[in-house]
Amino acid sequence: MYARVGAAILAALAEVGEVSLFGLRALREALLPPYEFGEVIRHVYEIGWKSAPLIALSGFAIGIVLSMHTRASLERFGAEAMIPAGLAIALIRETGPLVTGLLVSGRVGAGIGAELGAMKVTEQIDALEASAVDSFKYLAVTRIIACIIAMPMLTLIMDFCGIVGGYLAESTISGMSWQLYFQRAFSLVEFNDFIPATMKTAVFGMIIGTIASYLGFSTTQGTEGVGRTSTRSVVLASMMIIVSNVVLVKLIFFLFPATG
Amino acid sequence: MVSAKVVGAGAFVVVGLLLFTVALFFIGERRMLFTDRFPVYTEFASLGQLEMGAVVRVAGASAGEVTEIRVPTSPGGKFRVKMEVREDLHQLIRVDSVAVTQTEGLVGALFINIQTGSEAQPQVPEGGTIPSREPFAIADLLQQASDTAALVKETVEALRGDIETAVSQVALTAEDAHGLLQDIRPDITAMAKNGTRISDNTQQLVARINAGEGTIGKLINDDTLYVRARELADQSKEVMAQSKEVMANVKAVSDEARRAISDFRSKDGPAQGLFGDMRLALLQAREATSDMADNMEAMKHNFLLRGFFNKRGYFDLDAISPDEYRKGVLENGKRKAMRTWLSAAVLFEPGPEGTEVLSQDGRARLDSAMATYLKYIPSNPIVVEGYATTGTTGERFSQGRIRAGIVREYLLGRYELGPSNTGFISLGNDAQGSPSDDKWDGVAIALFLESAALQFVEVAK
Repeated sequence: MYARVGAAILAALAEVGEVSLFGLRALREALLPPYEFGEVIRHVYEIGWKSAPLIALSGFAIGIVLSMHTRASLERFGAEAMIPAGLAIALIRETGPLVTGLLVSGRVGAGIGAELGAMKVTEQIDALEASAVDSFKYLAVTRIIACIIAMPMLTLIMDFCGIVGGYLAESTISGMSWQLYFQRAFSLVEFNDFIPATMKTAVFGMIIGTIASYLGFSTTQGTEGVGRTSTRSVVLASMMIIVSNVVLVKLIFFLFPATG
Repeated sequence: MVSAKVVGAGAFVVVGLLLFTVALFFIGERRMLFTDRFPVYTEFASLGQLEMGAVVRVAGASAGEVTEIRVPTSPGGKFRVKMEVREDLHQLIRVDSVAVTQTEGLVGALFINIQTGSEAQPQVPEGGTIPSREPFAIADLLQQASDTAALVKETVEALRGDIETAVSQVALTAEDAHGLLQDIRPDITAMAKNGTRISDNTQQLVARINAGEGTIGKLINDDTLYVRARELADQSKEVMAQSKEVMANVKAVSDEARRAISDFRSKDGPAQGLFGDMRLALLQAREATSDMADNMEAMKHNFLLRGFFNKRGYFDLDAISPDEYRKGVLENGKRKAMRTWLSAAVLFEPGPEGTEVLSQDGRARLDSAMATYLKYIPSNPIVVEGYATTGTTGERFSQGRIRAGIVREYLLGRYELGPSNTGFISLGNDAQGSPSDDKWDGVAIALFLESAALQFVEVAK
């Protein structure tokens, strides 16, 4: 039994190491020519643009819900005026980036894993290699870069739509004007709240793209393996986003003390 | 032909960058990064959680932020706070403007509010320093509230002590009033007796004068004495007026005493001073009535009137001493004493606090004894003699007087006898002629009957 547990631990560590090396290789390859701009743009379109409606709608709904919850809490203290600022702080600092990462990992991570896994089991990757195309750079790096670019953008959309949703909820209840709402929403937001929280989603994009691409490239056992890869991509990416978020938040507090 | 995917990707990036810019603009605008500002300093001994980036307001208007906080170089120094303030508010900040740290609501963040200065003062220069007021901490407020609560509690406890003292004093005042009433009761009794004496004497004098008896009768036919008679009449009239005046004074004193007692019973009534005034008033009234009684007594000894009293054999039954009484001053060869001996065991029963009161049987015995005497009074005087056989001489005398007084009061009330004709006297235990060998414990009712009318009276035992 100990041997099996030990073997499992070793296998897990080996997989983590391979994923890490996969990601580092992707970063290094991204800096080296030739640059696949066309593929990057295409993936930004696929990952970012096509995810925007999902993110916008989710953000809008989250903004409404957050506004209602914030009101229920703050009106006990007679601090309704703090609702816009509280909602904006919550969205910009944490809710927006984390929810965006989880949604993207579900939609994009599964897609990348399934797409690359299908290419792997159907030997399309081998065909690319046979055609003297760097399959890693062409397939994996471009997707990882697209994820890194798209995630902050999607997070901004999530934040914006969330604040708008909060405004609609607030104006429905209290009739607050949008000028006053946005003025109050940003009354407590500092650059240190906004920039690090938004930029950390690039790390989320790196995690999603790397894990999904690695699992796609590692797919075996035919179509069954493709489905398993898709599922593992979502689960691992989501889990790593949540875990990495803890580290990133602590790192932000360390680098930008005023945000604590 | 440009690919739709490229356009979509470009639009996606542009939207993202646009949103990023908008967010930066909102935040920068709030921090007034795009507004002309000027630096101004202030100093605080304690920051009170004031932080970098804290909002600065001028007269409540959002004006800038704290951009620098310099730590003092020594413990006695102050934190030097640099503020960047909107230039358009510069004219409101004068050299006497005061920077105050305040809290957004009860639990909000700390900010600096710069109060506008006075018109007479110049604007603070760029980089100038304005005075400050030290931060106000909620903890200080709570401490002050705690101190205030303690003070209120202390005050309430002190007031409770005062109230208890006041209640105690009211109780003491009530006790004093009660004691005063007990004290003045003998005075009032004495006043009433004196008033009765005066009234009786006056009545006697006037009756005799109106009847023309004695010397006054002779004066009516004596022209030489007419003037003196007129003077005497005037004096009598004056005496009557004085009597009325005295009675009016007595009534006034009584009313005053009643009002004083009422004041005493009121919660705002005076205390010791009024006690003294009342006692003084009562003493003066008593003296006045006593003096009046003396005056009347003197008049009775006047040569014009004394004939009547000499003929009667006595001036005042109360003024006869036991010794004179035993020597037969009331008999004087003209009257004969007829006595009814009544023992204390028959007359009295124990009363409250060791006193004696007339029993029902005693009243019946007295009524029986008086039945024989009624036809001889009021023209013949009655004297109630009191006797006692226990205790010292003084105690026997006192006990005898009390017994005689009780019986006399009963007779006066029961048969409406005249006080001038119904006397009482204590003879101790010396009861000459008593049924028990010259000693007697009780009373004897003595009727001094004129010899002409003397007849046998059965003695009740």
